[in-house]
Amino acid sequence: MTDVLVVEDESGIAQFVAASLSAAGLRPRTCATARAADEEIRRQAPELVILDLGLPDEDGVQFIARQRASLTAPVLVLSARTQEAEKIAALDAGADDYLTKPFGVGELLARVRAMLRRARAAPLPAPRLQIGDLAFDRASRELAVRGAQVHLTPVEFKLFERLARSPGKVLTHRQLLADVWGADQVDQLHYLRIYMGHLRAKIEEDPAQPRYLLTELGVGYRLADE
Amino acid sequence: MRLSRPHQYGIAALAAAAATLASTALDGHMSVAGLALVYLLAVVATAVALDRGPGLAASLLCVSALNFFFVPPRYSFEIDGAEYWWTLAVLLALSTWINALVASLRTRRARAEEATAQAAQLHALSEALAGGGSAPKLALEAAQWLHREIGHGAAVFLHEGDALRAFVAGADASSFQASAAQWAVDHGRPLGRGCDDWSDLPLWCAPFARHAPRGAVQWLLHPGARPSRELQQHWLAIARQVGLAIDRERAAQVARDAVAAAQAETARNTLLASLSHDLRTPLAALMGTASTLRTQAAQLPPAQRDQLLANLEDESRDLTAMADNILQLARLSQPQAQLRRQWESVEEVLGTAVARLRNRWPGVRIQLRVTPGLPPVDAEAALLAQVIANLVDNAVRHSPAPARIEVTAGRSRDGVFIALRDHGEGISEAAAATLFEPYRRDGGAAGLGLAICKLVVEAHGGRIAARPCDPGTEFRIDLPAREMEAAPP
Repeated sequence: MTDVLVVEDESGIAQFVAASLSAAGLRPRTCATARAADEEIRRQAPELVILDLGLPDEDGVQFIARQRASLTAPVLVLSARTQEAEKIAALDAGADDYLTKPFGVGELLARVRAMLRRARAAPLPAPRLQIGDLAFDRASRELAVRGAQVHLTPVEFKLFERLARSPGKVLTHRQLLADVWGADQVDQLHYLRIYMGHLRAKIEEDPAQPRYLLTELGVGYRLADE
Repeated sequence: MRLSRPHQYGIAALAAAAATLASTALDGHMSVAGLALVYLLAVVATAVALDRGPGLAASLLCVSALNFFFVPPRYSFEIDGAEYWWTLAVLLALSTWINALVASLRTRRARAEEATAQAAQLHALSEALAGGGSAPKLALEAAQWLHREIGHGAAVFLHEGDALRAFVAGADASSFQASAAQWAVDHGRPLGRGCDDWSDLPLWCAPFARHAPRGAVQWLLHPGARPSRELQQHWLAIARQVGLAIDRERAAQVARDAVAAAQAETARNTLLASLSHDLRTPLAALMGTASTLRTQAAQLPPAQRDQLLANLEDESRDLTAMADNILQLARLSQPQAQLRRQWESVEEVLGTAVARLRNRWPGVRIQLRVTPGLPPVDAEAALLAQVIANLVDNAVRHSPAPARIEVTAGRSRDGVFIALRDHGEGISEAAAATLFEPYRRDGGAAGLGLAICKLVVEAHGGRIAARPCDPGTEFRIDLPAREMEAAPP
């Protein structure tokens, strides 16, 4: 059974998350503090961590930064509406995805399933990627959508390749800018907007309602993974 | 342009020579007294045309020439007879008197012109400072004006807390002397060049008027400049006027703050009143439904149980939307509300918002059409998405099921527009005008929602309006677009 560690100090939420994970056939462990979480992780490494950002004894962002080196499991962050900035910092520190409270069970389980699927898949990056009608061959640098070859400029390719390295994972604006344009360009958000616009125009059927290149409003982008 | 000194003396000599030539021509036809009148003409002409010194020189030359060439015995400075004595004396007296008269008239005219220029300068200053804004903005504008008009560098010092803050123009802040400004403020009188105090400094500094806020003006003078008493009086008037303008602005600011505080207070009270209703209604439903399910689940037919559970979800979703609105309302009604603005693509924001709304309202048909290649807007994406969500909520509430909503975005004259059209019950022209008034409540959270829409759109420098269509209503948001920086590499 899949071992999921739920780190949440509000018992109502911890209970309902644990209950729905159990019902979905996973095995949740819950704890309410960062210290207890450290202990649980040491005892047995979980396959997935669901982490509330507002823990009583440690800032969630710090917790992730501290655990990231040793922890192989993906981290799903739960944030309140007032924690927008922390949520982005957590993603930058190494969290894989996020849910904003309040959220429904459907949303939660969809994220958990997708994260587990990715974690269990062949070590990334896979040489070939097939998502819906989109086929990407990393080695030959070829991208085809709905059977037609798509020609990307070098920067467009770099951006797409960065997203394709971890399909389904949220990449913050900062991460994308640093990886594609360089660490000194992380504030040039408009570069990203322009090139994402170009990419969508080439890949999406309706760029306003994208199927592959998804916007995480105010946070970043992700490549759809199914 | 007035001639230089040596030139003026040359002209004085020429005038005397011309009078002598004319007298030579008239000699024999006129008495010496008549010739004296010819010279007097030259004297009057030089007095009017030349400065005082050259004028006097011309007078002396004329009297001497008349004596030498025409008063017997001729070609000597001797004077033969009392009548000639008188003629010469009268000519001398008349010419010096005329000279003095013309000089005093000229001084008076120059003073009048100067006074006019100074009055015009004061007027220009008051015009320049009439724009308002804030005290620091005004201080900077005043410094810039003083730099243009008076010093080759000017500063306005304002007391903030217990320190003087300098607003400078035309020179580095280090060129000015804060200690001198402080002295002027403490002693209430000017200092620097031409004053009793600190006259070795190459600047002039004066405090604002006594009842104005504490502060001073200071400007740098060219080396060797020594302002006269009159000029310093004028400068004092300028200092006073700068102080008064800033005082007015501060008073206006206090008044504005008071009005804003009162408005915020009223808004808070209305909000609390409406919230206590709008929150309690869904909470009552939640609580009732939950307790029904808990105590009577076994007796309920499955269909009814499902319906109650669905209600629970709907009610809490509404409450969530309302909590988001309240949160933003609290944030945006703060006087220094800061938006987390970024370059956003309208297409992305609308695409994401509409995708979320389709999830939330599975039965509602939402069509989205965005003109390709829209310029980006400088906005907080989450807030814009919330505006769209509020408008869609509102449309769904006022449309017969299944609701049909069209969202379009395109280029407008000075930016980007987003339009949202429903096919619902519509509104009257009169209602369209008051739709966005804060805390207007017409059944649930929607009243608050539209007020937030207006707050958000206006915080982004845009406009929102509603107009009745047949059937339904169209909401239109106009946002300014900025030209983006050069294309990235």
